[in-house]
Amino acid sequence: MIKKLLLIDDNEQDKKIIKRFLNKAGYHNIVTASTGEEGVEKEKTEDPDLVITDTVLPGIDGFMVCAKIREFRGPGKPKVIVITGAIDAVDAVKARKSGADDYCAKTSDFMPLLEAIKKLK
Amino acid sequence: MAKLQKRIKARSITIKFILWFLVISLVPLIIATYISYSSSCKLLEEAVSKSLLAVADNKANQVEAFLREKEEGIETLSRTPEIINAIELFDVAYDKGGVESEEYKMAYEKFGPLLAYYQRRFGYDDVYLIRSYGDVVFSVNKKDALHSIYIYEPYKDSQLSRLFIEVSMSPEPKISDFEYSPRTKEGAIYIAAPVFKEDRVIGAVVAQMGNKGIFEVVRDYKGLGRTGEIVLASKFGETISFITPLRFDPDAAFKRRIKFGSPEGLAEQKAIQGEKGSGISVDYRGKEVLAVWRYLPSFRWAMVAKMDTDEVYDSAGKLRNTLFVISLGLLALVVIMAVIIANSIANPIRELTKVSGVIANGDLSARARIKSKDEIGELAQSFNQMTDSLLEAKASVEQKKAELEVQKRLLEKANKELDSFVYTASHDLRAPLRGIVAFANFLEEDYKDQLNKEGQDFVKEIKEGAKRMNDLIDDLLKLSHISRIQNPYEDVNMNELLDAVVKRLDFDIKEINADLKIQKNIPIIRCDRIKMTEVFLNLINNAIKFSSKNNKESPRVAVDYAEENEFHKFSVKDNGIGIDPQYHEQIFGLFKRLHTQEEYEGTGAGLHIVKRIIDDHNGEIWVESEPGKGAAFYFTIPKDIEKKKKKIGEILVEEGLITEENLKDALKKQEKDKA
Repeated sequence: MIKKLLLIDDNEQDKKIIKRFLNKAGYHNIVTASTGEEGVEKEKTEDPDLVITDTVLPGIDGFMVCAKIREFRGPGKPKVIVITGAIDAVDAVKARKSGADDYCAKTSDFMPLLEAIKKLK
Repeated sequence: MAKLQKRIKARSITIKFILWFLVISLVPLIIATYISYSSSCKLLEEAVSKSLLAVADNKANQVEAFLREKEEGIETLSRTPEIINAIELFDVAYDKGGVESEEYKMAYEKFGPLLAYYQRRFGYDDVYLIRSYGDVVFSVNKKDALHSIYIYEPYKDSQLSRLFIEVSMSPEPKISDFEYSPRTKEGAIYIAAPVFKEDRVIGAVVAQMGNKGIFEVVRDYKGLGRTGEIVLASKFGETISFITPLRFDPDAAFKRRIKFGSPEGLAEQKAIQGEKGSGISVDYRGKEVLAVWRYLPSFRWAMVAKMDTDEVYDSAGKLRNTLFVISLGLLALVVIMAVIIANSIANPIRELTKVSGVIANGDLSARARIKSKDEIGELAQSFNQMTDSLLEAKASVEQKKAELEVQKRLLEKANKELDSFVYTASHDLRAPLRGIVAFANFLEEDYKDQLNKEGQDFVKEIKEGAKRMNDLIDDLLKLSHISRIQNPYEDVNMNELLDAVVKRLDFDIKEINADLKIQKNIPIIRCDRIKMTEVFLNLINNAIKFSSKNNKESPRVAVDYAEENEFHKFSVKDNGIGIDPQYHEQIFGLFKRLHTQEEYEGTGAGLHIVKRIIDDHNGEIWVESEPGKGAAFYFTIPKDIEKKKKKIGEILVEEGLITEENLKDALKKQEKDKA
């Protein structure tokens, strides 16, 4: 059961949009971070059920974030979904290798992300 | 064997020359030899015939004269009173008691020496006196054989008895045919003349003669060469017998016979039948001879004067041999000349070939060393000039190539930069756009009630503008993706590919109720699967889009395939609004639109993307259309797509500006530089 989410994205607009969609979908406990390093730290302190991270971040990228979380936590919790501005087959493989549970594109309605979260349950 | 063939091939000009020279010289040589040989043969034949004829005439006269003389001798004898007395005396004495009687002895003493004298004097073998009863009453040599010629051997049925009968009924002297005596193994003729006393035949005087005298006449071979001779033959029953010894068969007289119809002694056979003639014939030995033949009616003999054709043509043969030797010499000379001439042509050509081989292998410094001033020398000179120019051209091509390579690399770099710029730009453009769309949506969803109608319309316009921008960015991304990503060529099942395309367009097809027909059984085609899908997606989508606005007919779209010699040809046809020919080139440009956004949606990148993909495949694309008559898009994909993917270097090689070697070296160097 996903209750607490950590959203890592350097784009404030995207963060805002995603938060709104997540709120509407019934997720209210959302922590955000703007860089990879901050994200990794927040994951340790906040202990979220799901981490949503953008690929392109200042500092370490989303895949590295994912890999570090997995390194620290091991498999299972938290779930990690990697989101990206442009879908790319190479990135999908990279996400899988870094231990992400899913990988999806950013769209204006963020339907792929919501679907991916639904699938995790 | 193969080596020899190679050698012959290598020397084919020489061989050809020899053959031609031989043909040219052999034909007249053979004709000349043949003509001179055959005419000399004819001349010789005529000359020998003439001389044979002369000899034959001469001999015939001699034989005739010889026998006439003998005949006249007998005729003279028959008229001498002594002979008349002798016959009367012997007649009486023979009856008195035969040869042993006193009377006969007295008569013999009286006339014997005289008759013997006549016999010797005229050259007879024997002289007989025959009384009218047909008894031989006197013989110089055969005193013991005095019998009746009718009853007793050896006279019974002999030439002598026949001759006596003939002579006793005619006043003329007669000559018998030859008669062969098995006892003496010799042949003889008889010459008889009747003996008259007061117009009454009281008997006959007969001379017997062998063939020696006649042989003496004909044995003279003067003017008859080594093989010529005069042959005399007489009819003996159903055969012809020679009556004198022959030059090549001394025992032939009366022993050698020729049967009528036999292949030998043809001239004798003809002559004995009364013919007179001359020509090539076959003699008693079966040898070919040139012969002159005639019949001697006085004695019923055949006379043949003949000479072996070998001897006749001997001098012609010598001439022929001489001609043959001269011909051989000439031919040898011709062959030598042919070889010399051929070599004078072939050697420079070989030299040129060798040098051009060296040049073909890339050594442009090689030059033909031919000093002659003739056409071949000119050829070598212009060949060398050509090589010089080639060297210059190569140098300038190398330079051009290097320049081109630099330009190409710059161009590639610029292209790459442009592509990555487009990629980044469109990527970065997306994020704010996402915001615009999302927030416009939020505004619409969350604050709809607070906006009046105009405000709602503005939100709608924001959303529409954003959507259009999104589409443009999508296409730009796709375009940069197509330029950046080179998928490997694979064997693609086009039927499956088209099925997938149709599935993706299913919604649109159903929405406008389009009649989409796709050809079945298209073969496997080697191409970029992902990009080819893009091509059909765009073309079919366009076709559906434009045919949907046909007000008269329901929308129809057809995808067809045709296999051509070197490429696959596809077509996508619709019955839509069509395209004015003046725009046929333009429509493949980026973001070219012929219609407003309201009429037909889309960014105008689709056909440009399609063209770039087809260009990438080295194919061609074109449209055939007129306004109101629908449009047909055609494109081709080469069958040997990998080969057709030419690089600039390969094109240079194909055009002959550089060699394969140059290209390989250049590529190696390029790789080294890269490393």
